Amino acid sequence: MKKVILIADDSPTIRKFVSVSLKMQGFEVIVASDGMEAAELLPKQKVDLIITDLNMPNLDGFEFIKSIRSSQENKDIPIIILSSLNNEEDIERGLKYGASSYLVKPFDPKRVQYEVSKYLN
Amino acid sequence: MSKINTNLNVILEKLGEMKKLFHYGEKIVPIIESITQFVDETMPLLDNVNASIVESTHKMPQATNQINDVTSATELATTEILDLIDEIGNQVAKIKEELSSINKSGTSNLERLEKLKALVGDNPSALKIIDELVDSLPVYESVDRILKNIEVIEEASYKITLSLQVQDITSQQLEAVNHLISSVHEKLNDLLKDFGEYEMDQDNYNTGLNSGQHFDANAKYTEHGSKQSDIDKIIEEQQKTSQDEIDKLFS
Repeated sequence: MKKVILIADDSPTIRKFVSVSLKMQGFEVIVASDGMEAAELLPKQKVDLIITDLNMPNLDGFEFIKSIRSSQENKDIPIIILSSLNNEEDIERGLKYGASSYLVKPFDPKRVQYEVSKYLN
Repeated sequence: MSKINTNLNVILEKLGEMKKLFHYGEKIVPIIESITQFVDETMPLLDNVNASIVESTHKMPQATNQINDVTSATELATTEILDLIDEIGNQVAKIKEELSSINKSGTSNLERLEKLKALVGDNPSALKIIDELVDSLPVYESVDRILKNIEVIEEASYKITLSLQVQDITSQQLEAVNHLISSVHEKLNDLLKDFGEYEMDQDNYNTGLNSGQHFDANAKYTEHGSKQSDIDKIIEEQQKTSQDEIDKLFS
């Protein structure tokens, strides 16, 4: 059975980039255009890993991560941040909130594949 | 008598002060006249400035909408290109699969011909035909050559997808410009409202200014990997610090 990865990003092109790259690796991908939509998807669908942006409307990435880590059911899902924010405070905050990895945009799809395989293979 | 003198002195003092005042007035009147003239001349200019601000304020929503249109168009085009690259990837995968099966069948044909060669023994005519058949199997070299060409196509497609990320970065930069324009628009609108000149058409102008910032104004398109290696160093440093703290705690 294919592992399911949830991508939360408000940029349709980034969602597409990541989806194409992960589908090639044999994963099933579901997408959400912001943190709120992603949080609403979680109870309906079993997810093995989450890739999330930080700057998003409605519910940003930090709050989204916080909500996942505070949920009993999803607190152990690996979370990879994929953001253009690259200052130390944001990285520290993201990891403190419970992200497993931090990748910066523009990103190398091979690095995304590597990080995903670290948690799912 | 002395009281009358005192009163006269007071009147004379007052008259002296009035004289000074008139002297001062004589000096100040030309200045007031020139100020009035200046104001008269400046008024049309101020009217022009005001009209220009009103006009610019009217145009700002249009500028914002145009920026949004540019973002949508590049987004659509990028998605279309990515769809095509995805399709190229699918087709390339199929070609690779087919080449692999051709390679397998070629190998097995070669093995059969080698077996046949052993069975034929010392028949030179038969051996010659078999050798010709072996030579006519173009499988290995051709397949290898095609696979190498496919690798070039795959690498080029991969590089295209990397470069297309510029769309996401520029859209964030444009969003930052939009945010700036709408902030200026709001300030000008407040100013014009105070003058009673202009009322912003909120229905036709919604830039999402109050919906919270969801872009990175400092987003930059850099060489791939350069920013990530900096991030990795920061994470490594942070993890090292955490481990040091744990070690200290248990030492």
